[in-house]
Amino acid sequence: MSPPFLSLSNVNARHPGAESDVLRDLSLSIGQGEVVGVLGSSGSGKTSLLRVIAGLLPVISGAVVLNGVDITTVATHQRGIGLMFQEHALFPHLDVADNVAFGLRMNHVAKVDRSARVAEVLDLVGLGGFGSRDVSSLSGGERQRVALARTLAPSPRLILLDEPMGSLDRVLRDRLLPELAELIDQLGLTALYVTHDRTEAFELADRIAVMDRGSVIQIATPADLDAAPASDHVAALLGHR
Amino acid sequence: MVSSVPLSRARRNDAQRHRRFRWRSITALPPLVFLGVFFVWPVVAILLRGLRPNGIWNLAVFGEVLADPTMQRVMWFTLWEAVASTVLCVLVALPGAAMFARFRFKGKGFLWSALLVPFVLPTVVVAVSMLGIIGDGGVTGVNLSGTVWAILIAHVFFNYAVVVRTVGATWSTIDPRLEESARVLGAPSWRVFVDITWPLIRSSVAAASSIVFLFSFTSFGIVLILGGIRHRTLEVEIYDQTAKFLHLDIAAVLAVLQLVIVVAILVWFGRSQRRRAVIFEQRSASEIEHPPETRAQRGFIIANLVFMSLLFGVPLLVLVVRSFSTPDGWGFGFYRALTDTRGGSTSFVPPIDAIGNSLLFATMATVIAVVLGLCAAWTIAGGGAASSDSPLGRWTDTALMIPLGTSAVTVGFGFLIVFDEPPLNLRSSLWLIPIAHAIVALPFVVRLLVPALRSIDPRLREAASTLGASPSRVWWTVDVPIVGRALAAAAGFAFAVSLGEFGATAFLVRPDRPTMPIAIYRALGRPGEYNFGQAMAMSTLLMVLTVIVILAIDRFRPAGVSEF
Repeated sequence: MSPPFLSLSNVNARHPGAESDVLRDLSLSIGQGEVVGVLGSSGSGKTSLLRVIAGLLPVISGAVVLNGVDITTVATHQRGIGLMFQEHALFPHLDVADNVAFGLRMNHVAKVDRSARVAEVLDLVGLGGFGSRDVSSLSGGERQRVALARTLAPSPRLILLDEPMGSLDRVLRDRLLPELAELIDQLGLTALYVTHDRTEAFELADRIAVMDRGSVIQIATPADLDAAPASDHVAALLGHR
Repeated sequence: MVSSVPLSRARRNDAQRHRRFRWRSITALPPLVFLGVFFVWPVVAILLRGLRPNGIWNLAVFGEVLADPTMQRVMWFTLWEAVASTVLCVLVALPGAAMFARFRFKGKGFLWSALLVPFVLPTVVVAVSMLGIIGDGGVTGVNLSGTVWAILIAHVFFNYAVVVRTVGATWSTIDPRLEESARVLGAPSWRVFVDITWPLIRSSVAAASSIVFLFSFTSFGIVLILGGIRHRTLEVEIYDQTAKFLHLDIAAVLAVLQLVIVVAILVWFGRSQRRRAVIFEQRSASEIEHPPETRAQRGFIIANLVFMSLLFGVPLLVLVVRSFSTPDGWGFGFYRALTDTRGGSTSFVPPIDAIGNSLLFATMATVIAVVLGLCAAWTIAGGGAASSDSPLGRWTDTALMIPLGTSAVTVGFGFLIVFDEPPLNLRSSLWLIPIAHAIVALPFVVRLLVPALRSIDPRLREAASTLGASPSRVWWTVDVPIVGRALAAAAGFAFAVSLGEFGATAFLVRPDRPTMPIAIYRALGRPGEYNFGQAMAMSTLLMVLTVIVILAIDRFRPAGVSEF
């Protein structure tokens, strides 16, 4: 078996000023091109896991290795990882094109190549021609697509999705989810997808990591997970009775 | 029966709205009449004095003033001193704003309130404390009095809180995920600031800058005391032309020039703001602030705190210490001297009398400002958030903010030329000074009361009126108790403003009824360590009074309502 693309070993992390660790002895490995869904109830440490991988939350102990390189202490802006927030966090003072181009600009991509890439990515998410729109004029679904385009534009080695459908209503979610799944598949992305919704996880993920109290308590393919949940807690998260 | 309910309710609401409108027009009257008589009329009188001396339209004095090299120097200095003060203040205060916006630390809430103290300290007190450190014989041994540095430092002292609190309030609502997104997309820290943070705080920096500029441009007490002979602002020149040389025409022309420049800058600023403002979704500050994580962050907080203690703590501490340090050793010598009646002339009054005068004037000014402020705020905020946008309310709101943009010296000078003769001769009236103070305090009072009134749920009023309460009864039983806290804060603020007011008072004061700032200024004007000591003792007393008032109102301050 080839070495994992991303691996976390025995990671402990804590929010600044907090009394106890939010990630406890967490280990996780992901292969290249794999999509892993992270499932867990709120407070289980899902978002903190993504923040540790992105370098937004420092680890107390343990190591994060990406593509054979230890990135545990590498600064966030040098990691080349994409992260999409639940709230999308679009820059309110920039238009759609400038939002999408931001990562390219930070990576010193020439202006000509930049606009070509922006157009390309916007087409990819179905927002061709939206470049000059003000972000405040966008609908929820459009905002989600712009956030995705912004994350994809610099071609990150790994993308982290933190409940990307969390702020959308049911109808929109049902429409966008297959689109996102297809896009991830088409681009061959390696992705970590955090959600508390089992159907989302099942639809998108190759494997599902179940988190509880700061650790991964089971990781398996959706089918295996469904067939043999490791504990009552996992079973409850999956909606079993 | 059922179908007639909405109809009758609609009719009743209509009737209520009419009643409320009439009621509002009545409450709009006192503040607007007051503003007309005691602000607009004096300002118009100054305009006419400058443009129509001797009753004939004549721009000759204007031309003379503009062509006079001395006056040109004064105007140039006023302008660049204000720009330099603003830039310096923003530069040193931005790190403070960042600290309050991003970090949680012990004593943060107290510090946030305490920052208001230097903002409301009397200019004269600050000038005297500066002299105590960087004046002739100051503790640092460096004599900066008469240099522009003394003026700039004093302006930073006053306006630091304006920038920190205005910008900090905006900064603290910026979603940190925006900055994190930028970092993840490859932006190093400095680019995060330049590309994300700065564009989002820029309009609040501009707003704070315009206030600092205004305060520095119309700075009077500081420049009068610290500027020496070489450095004079328009305000000081207006005062000198009036009080020393009795050139009322020249003073009027200068006041007109100053007014024009101030209005032009405010209009330009308002325009540029409208084009630039970025509206963004705000987060509550408690979601964002966090304790410092790294050594660099802890260092950043400590550096800020050290800076604040140097800027504020040292001058005030030196003031207090030196007020007890007499030539005969430590003691109350300078304080005892305040009760002295020997002053070389028969008209001399013991400085201690100024305390009584100040307290009396401040009480009168507070009563005027609060009563009128309540009427105005009620006109502006009216029946709560929903119906608050009446043209009358908006108009009153704008009208009452104008005095904020005008200098106290203009108010004082205007009073001097208008209320000196019939039809309204107030020259010897005890009310003259309190009225001037009320004009200066009114904008602050209104700004504190309006948000509180807007926060009242209109359904409470409706409930009260359906229970049979008349409009005045509704106001008394619903509005007043809810607004009580804001009212106490506004009263305290007006009191503090009046205690420290110097610019207008300098024009209007009678020799036998000095206020505390005037007594301090007079003591500074007399030679010798004995008199300087008295100035420091009186400044200490005035500072203590102001601090007591401010800390008292902070207990009543409605949480998170206003930046001031």
